[in-house]
Amino acid sequence: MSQVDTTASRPTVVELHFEDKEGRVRIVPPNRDLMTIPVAMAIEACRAFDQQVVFKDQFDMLVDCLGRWINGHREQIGDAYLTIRDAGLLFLVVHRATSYDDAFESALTDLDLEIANDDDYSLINLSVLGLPSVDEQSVHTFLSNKMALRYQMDGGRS
Amino acid sequence: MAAEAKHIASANRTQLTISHLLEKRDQNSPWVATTAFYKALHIVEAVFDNDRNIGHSSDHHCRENSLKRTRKYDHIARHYLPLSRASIVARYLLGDDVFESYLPPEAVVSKLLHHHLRQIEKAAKRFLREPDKLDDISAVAVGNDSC
Repeated sequence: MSQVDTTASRPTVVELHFEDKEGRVRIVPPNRDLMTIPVAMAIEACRAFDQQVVFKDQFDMLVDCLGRWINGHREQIGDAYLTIRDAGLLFLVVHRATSYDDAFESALTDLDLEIANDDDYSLINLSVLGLPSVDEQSVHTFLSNKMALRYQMDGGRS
Repeated sequence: MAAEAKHIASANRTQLTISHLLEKRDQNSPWVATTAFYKALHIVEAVFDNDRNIGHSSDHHCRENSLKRTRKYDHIARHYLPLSRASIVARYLLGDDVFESYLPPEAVVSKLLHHHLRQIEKAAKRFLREPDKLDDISAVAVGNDSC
C-alpha cells in the first residue's frame, strides 16, 4: 500500500509500492495543475527520471571524452560534431584530407569500440562516422536540426 | 529454409551483384562499396541467427551495437565498422568524384572487398553451422574499366 510517513522529526517519506495495483498518486505542482496517476505509472516515471539523470551525467562525460580524443588527433581533423542520428548519438568527424586514411579509420574504430564497451557509457548509443574534407553543406546533411554540438578546434565546443 | 541459410543465400546473391558491378569497376565503385556492406550485413545476420542472446536485429543501430558489445565478435566488428562508414560516404556524399577521390576504385577492391569483407567472412565462418555455403569474395574477378 502507498503510505505517508508523517513523523515530525524526519523528512516525509512517500512509499509507492509496486504491489499496490489499485493505488493512485495525486501530484500537486506549483501551478496547481493537479495530476492523478496510477502508482505503477508513478514508479515508472521515477525510474525514467533516475535514468535521465544518469544519462545526463554520461552524456557530459562523453562530450569531454570526445573533446580529448579530438585534441589527440587535431592534426587530422578539420571539424567535429556530436549530433543525434536514428535512435542514438553520432560523433561526426570531418578529416582535413579528401582521401581515405587507414590509420585514422582504425582510430575511429578503436574509439567506437572503446565507448561501446565502457560501463561509464552504458546508456549511450553512439555511432562514429568519419567524412573526407567536403563542403559545409554536405556535412550539414548528417546533422540533426534538434541537436548538434560543434567542437571548436581549440578544445572547446559550441 | 533455416534463417542462417536465408541470410547466406542473400549474401551470395549480393556477391553476384558485386561481381556484375565490378565489370565496370571505375564507374560503379560507390555501389561496389555499398553492396559489399550489404553482403557483410547478411553475414552478420546469419551469425546472429545462431546466437540465442541476439537473434534478428531490427535496424543498423541495433546490429552495430550487438556487434560492438559482444566480445566474441570483436574481430568482425573491427572490419564491419569501417565498411559501414565507407558505404555511408558512398551513399550520401554525392558530388563530382567525392567518393572516387576518397577511395579510388582499386582501393575499394583492395581495402573494402579483399581486406575488410574478406576478414568478416573468415571470422564469421567460425559461427556458422554451414560455413561452406558462404561464397568467398576472393572468388570474384576484379574488374578494371581500362582492360
